[in-house]
Amino acid sequence: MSEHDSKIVVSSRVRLARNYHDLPFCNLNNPDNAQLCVDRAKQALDTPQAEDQYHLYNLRDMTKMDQLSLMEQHLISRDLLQHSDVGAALVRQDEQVSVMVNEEDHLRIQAMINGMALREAATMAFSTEDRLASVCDFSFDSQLGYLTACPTNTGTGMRASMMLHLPMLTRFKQMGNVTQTVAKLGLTIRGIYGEGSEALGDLYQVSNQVTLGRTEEEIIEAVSAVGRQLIDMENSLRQRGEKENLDLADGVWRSYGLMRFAKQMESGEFMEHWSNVRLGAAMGILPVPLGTVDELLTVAQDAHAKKFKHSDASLTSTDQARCVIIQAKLNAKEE
Amino acid sequence: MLCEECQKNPATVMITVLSGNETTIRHLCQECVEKMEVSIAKGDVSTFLSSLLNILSREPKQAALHCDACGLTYAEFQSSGKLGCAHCYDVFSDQLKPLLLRVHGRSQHAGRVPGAHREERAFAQCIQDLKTRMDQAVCAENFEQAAALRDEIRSLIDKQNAEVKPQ
Repeated sequence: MSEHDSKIVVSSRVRLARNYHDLPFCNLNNPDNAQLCVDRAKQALDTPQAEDQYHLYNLRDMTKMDQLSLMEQHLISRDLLQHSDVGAALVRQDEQVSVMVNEEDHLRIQAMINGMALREAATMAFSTEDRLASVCDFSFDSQLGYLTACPTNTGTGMRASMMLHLPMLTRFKQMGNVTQTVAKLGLTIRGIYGEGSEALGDLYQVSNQVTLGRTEEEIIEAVSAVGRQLIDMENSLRQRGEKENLDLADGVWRSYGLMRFAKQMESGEFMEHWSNVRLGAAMGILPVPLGTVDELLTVAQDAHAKKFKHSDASLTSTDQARCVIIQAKLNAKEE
Repeated sequence: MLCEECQKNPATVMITVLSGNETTIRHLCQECVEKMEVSIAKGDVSTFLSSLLNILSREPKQAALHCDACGLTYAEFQSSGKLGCAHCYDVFSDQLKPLLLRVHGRSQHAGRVPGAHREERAFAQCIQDLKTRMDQAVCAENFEQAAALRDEIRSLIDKQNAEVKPQ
């Protein structure tokens, strides 16, 4: 991944949908079978090597706040929260790989890496898939490929996605056109938390819609190609913004000022300023490393801020806790 | 003719679905077609799927179809967009094939295969390669080589069959 790409690509993710061949799909599965899915996944990923250990999270044993906190880290999906009675997640120690159990399919294997790294993410997901398949075979048909609960995932069962930060394309109202063009290529653009979610913070997920009849390599190439094109479009608008001095720096510094000194900030306002600060960091306007800004995207969200508030009695609101978290990160990292 | 979906506007678009040897023709109005296009442009696959499913399966006998393994009826699939088990793909095969073709544009899996199927696919590929070489030999009137390739193909298939069904 080049440094140039990471200014726009926040992360790359590959997820695989798989179902055990001998059990009904999740919507008709009974609690015993659901538990069997968890046991099989746990058994497959159980290893003595410390660096490759997975932690099992049973959603029913967690508070709602802890569940949401996993979602904010993108380790589980919003859909898994709907199945909190049987849903579980196995998360690798480095948090780059997670396996959701009993979501729409028995298993959703996900690998996520910062920056533009779809191929590396795919390699990680396939290696985890091989281990999971060693315990029990998956539903597979030689014509239709991997069989999934929803026919829209049948075939490779793979969704390759890149999360892109596109503030200038949003500002110039180009995203409507882009979304329509991308749909014609068998790809889709969604908000930060996947299907049906809003594009908060000018963050967009580009991913494949078509899963049958293409190889995994073709899917990765298609998503990467659109990603590269969006990067070029966003970059040329950023250069134009710099040249034409479109009050970019003023907006960026204002947002940075608020994030450094505000006493409380609700999540919508935070995402708006976060986007400006990320743009400023990427364009070298602000003295903040991009990595720090990206960290804020997780640790300053609602569930994380609520957890932090509970740990400190002097904090009276989540919005106040959010500011303390943001300022601790930004003050420590200012160069 | 009125649109088969809304039963209000005149049908101006004809959709032809080819499923095996069966051809299904549906007549829709521009508005209903646009609704389907908008839902897919928004990435709202479930709305697109349910409207497509409704259009493609008007016959009540299809809705009453059910999977003998998990009990899911086709009507239930139409409302939820989710199948009950792997066997549903066989039972609802006639209905799903045009749907899959419409959603994915293709009907043959091309991606990774599990371990046991990898050998099967490699074998099929090997036979296909030999057949291609045999055809090329015939075209070049190299009948001796073509006969040798034919024997090799037969021998490989016999060997494979013997392994699959041990006596």
